[in-house]
Amino acid sequence: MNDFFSKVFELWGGNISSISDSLYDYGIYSTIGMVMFFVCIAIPLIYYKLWDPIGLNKPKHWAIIMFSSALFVTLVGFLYAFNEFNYEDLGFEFFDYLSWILTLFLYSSLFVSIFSILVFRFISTNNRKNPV
Amino acid sequence: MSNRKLFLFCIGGTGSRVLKALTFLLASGVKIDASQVIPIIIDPDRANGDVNRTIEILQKYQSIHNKISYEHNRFFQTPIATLNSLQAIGNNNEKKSKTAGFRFGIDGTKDGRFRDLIDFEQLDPPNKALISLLYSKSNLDAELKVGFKGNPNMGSVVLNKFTQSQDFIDFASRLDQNDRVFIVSSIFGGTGAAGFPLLVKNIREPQKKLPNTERVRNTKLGAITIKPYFGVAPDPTSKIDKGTFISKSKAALAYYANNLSGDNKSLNALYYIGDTQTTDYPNNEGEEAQKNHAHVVEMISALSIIDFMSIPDEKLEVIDGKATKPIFREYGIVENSPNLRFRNLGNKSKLAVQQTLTQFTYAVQYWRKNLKKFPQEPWVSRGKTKFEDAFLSQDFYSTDLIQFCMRYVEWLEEMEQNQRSFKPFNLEGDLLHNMIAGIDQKKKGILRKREWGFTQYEGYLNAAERDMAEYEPINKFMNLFYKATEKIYEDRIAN
Repeated sequence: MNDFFSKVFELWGGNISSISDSLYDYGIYSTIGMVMFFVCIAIPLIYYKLWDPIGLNKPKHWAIIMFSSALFVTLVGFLYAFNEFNYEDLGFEFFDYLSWILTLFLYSSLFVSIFSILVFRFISTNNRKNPV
Repeated sequence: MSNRKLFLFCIGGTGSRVLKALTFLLASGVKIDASQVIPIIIDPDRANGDVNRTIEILQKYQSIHNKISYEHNRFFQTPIATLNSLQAIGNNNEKKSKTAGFRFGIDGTKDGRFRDLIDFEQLDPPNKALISLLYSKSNLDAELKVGFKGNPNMGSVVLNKFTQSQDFIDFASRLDQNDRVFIVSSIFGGTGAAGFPLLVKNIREPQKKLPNTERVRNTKLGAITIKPYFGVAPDPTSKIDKGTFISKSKAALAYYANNLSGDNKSLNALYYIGDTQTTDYPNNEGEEAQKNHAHVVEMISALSIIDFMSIPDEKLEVIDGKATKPIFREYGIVENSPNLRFRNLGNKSKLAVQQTLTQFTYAVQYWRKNLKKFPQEPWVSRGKTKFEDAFLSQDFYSTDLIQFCMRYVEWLEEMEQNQRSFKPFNLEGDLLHNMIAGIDQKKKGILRKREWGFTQYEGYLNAAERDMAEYEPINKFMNLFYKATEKIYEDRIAN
């Protein structure tokens, strides 16, 4: 699982940063990868099926909710890595995490959008046409 | 569905207003045990405002009904037909009934005066003297095109012509074995008070040979006679005086006791209703100005028609033109309040009308307040049948449905403004949680809120559309609103 997510987050070698090796060595890729996968499924499922709000069925509402879930994953990913590396006293600066944060945010946004637009909106009653 | 038709004679202005109330009840989906309702309006006052309003509403109802199917929808479900549209029983070659619409003419009343109708000038002196004893000069000179102005003594002569008319023969030839007849009239006016016993007599003892004479004689016959429930303002120039309403009612009741009930047993069921709380309407002798506000007595009278149709056949047996077990019913409200709500109706009445009228009113509120153009909601654009704004300018919606709904709202508002008032709904505002007067709706949602409005309404429409089969636009539209309002009632109101 760690190998798989490392390839995904490192874009198959195209996105190596100073903390990439540490993210792999400490198994953070797999942990955060699972968190991202879970959140990108759970949030659309809740929004479209369990909640399915009639008053929040405009594209802007969808965008806020999906953006918030991507932000949540990014925050979790960053804080988890930051705490782990600080504990191990690896001496990384905030700038070293920037690539990891950006990658996480983009991937979360992409996956939550794919799951909501291509899968979960079709099980909705009030938001089937949201955002497209 | 039942296979029996209801022939509904509505006599005079009160008869028309009760028919109007019945039409609105049927539009809301109130169930009646009849395959068709055939209204027959009898009123010589051709310009009568109440009659013309009722005919307009009936025509709109028919136009709407003919365009809808009824897999999921009960709004406008019961067919209302003209006599002309029926085929004579057992005679497929018979020409259509002369009268194309709902109102039946009475020969000799279009123009001319009462004296002309009875050929007063041709009478010999003894008969002239007798007639002059029975009728005043103003009676003799009365113009018949405005009705009888509260004089049943005139009405009884004039309306006799109806029972000898081709229209009556056409009715007789279309009455089937299982069909029923119901007569609506007031007891304190002119046309109804005269026409009711005449009609009963000519059904039970036809003066001339009718098609299906025995079937007509033995038909199941019900009636409601409506006692005074409004007055008219004093006017020395008018021939109508509310001071005579009670005495006329007493005289009529005495006649009915001897000639319609008692040993006579002409009627299978006779309903009575009236009210002690009255409003004085403007004293209009007829024609277009006679346009009385709707009254809850008329709505409850319409319920008597539904009640009559629900009585099993074995309780309405007729042998040789006499009812074997005549039924007599009056109506009482729960709590004598000047302002009635649904809770003031008896349980049976409430069961008959509360849900259906509520559903229909929710639908009407959405159409008139929230549907200037279609919203961007799944129920509008999901599925093969999508709604375009052009639908709202088509005849079905803009000419028929919305116009009908405006009359319905007008009817509700008139009943609210009358005395005794009936206000089942609060129609102002956009919050729908308090639309039903006197009923607290259920709290819903995580936050346990009672308040809801058109946003939540869209959710019900989306849910209703979700599982709906494909229909063409008009049917999808009506089915959607019926299902959505049914779910609203189930979710938020039903116990």
